[in-house]
This record gives sequence, C-alpha cells and structure tokens, in this order.
Amino acid sequence: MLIKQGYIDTKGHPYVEIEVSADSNGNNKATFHALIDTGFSGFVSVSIIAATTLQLKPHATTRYELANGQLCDPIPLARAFAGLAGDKLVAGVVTISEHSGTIVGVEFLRTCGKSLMLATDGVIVVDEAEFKATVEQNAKNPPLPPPPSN
Amino acid sequence: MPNEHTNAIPSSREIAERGEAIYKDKWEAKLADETGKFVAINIANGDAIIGETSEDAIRRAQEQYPQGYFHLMRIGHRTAFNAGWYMSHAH
Repeated sequence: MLIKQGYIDTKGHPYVEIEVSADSNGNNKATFHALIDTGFSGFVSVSIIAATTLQLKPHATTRYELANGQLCDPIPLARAFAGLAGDKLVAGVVTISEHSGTIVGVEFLRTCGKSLMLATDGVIVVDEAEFKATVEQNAKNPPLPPPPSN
Repeated sequence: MPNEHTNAIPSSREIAERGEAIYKDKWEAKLADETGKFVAINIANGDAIIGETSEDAIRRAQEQYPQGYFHLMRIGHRTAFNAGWYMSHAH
C-alpha cells in the first residue's frame, strides 16, 4: 500500500509534501510543504509568490466563506495540477491567496484518492482504494488471535 | 476572440462583482435544481458553464472561451469554497 508520511509542526498543524505544476506534464513543477486543512473544502491554495513562480495564469476569481461566516474578498484562481510528492499530478482549481503558506483541502484528498490519518507523531496519507480493500479483506478474514499464554 | 473583451484586464474585484451580479440576475433562479454543482460565469457575455466539480466548470469554461474571465460559484451556496480556521485567520 502506498503510504506517505507527513509531519506535525510545533504548533500542532499537520503538513504533507506536495508538488504543483501549471501543466499536466509537470514541467516547471515546484515542491511545497502544505498544511492539511480539513476545514478547507477546496483543492490547493498557494501564495502569490508561489503562483508567480509556477507561472499560473489566473483568469477567474472566487470567494471563500470564512470560519466566522463572513465572505472573503475576491481571490484569483487558476486551473493547475497537484499531487503528493512523487505521485501522479491531478487537475484542480488552485486558489491564490495573500497568506504565505501552501494549503491543501478535502478536494485535494478526494481528487487524489487519498485517505488521511492523524497519528500522535505525524500524518499518514494512504491510497484510499487500497486502504478500503485492505480493511474489507481483514474484515472477511480476521487475523488469528494470539495463542493463550501459560 | 471576436470582440468579446476590452483590452483592459479586469481586477479580481471587478470580475467577482460582475460575475455575482450576472449570476443573481440571470441564473440563480434558473439553476435552482442544480444545487451543489459549480458554475463559472463568463463576465463578458453572461454565459454560465456548469460542472460537477470546480475543476470541471473552470476547464470547460476555458475550453469554450480561452481568453475569457470567469467568476466561480457553487449553486445554492454562498461561495464556491469554505475556508478552514487557518485560512480564515490569514484573511
């Protein structure tokens, strides 16, 4: 099973390494340590500097509904490609925000077909189809109990 | 592109405000049965390009109007996306 190991920073935020490219071939792709924000319903959010480096071409805008219910100012977006580092890149809408970091949301996990597990010492991202198949297989054929101790 | 746009590049605020006005006037009632889908509004001609996902809507919009400017919304929702705690405090 394909497993990617992320990490939790000193503030308790989960991170994983991703790659983003303006094109599907991965030309001019860049690697980012992305915060996993399960409250973000979108795909990937990058900074203006990162968007410039990636040569993203934003021809569209959108808005977020913030956690307090307010709407954010309009933000540009571009169609681009992203995936876990070393994985296949998939198409999605990358928003370009004023904050400095890179963020992945639940749309990223869904589109990439990944499940997220938070452990006490890190983050584990696994292929969802393989993970479900393994769980179902184990449910059908549960492991034998350990032998009784004397 | 045949005279679809002026030469000036609109700002993000101009694109969003024009797109939201077009959506409210022209599409909100018509698309009420498409709740949950994403829609990209072409601010030049008022066209609405619908997709099952945000990427689907934007890709189809750009295929149809390669030089167009669009505002992305989610039908039946206040915005296309929800921001998490971290993003909310960055704005």
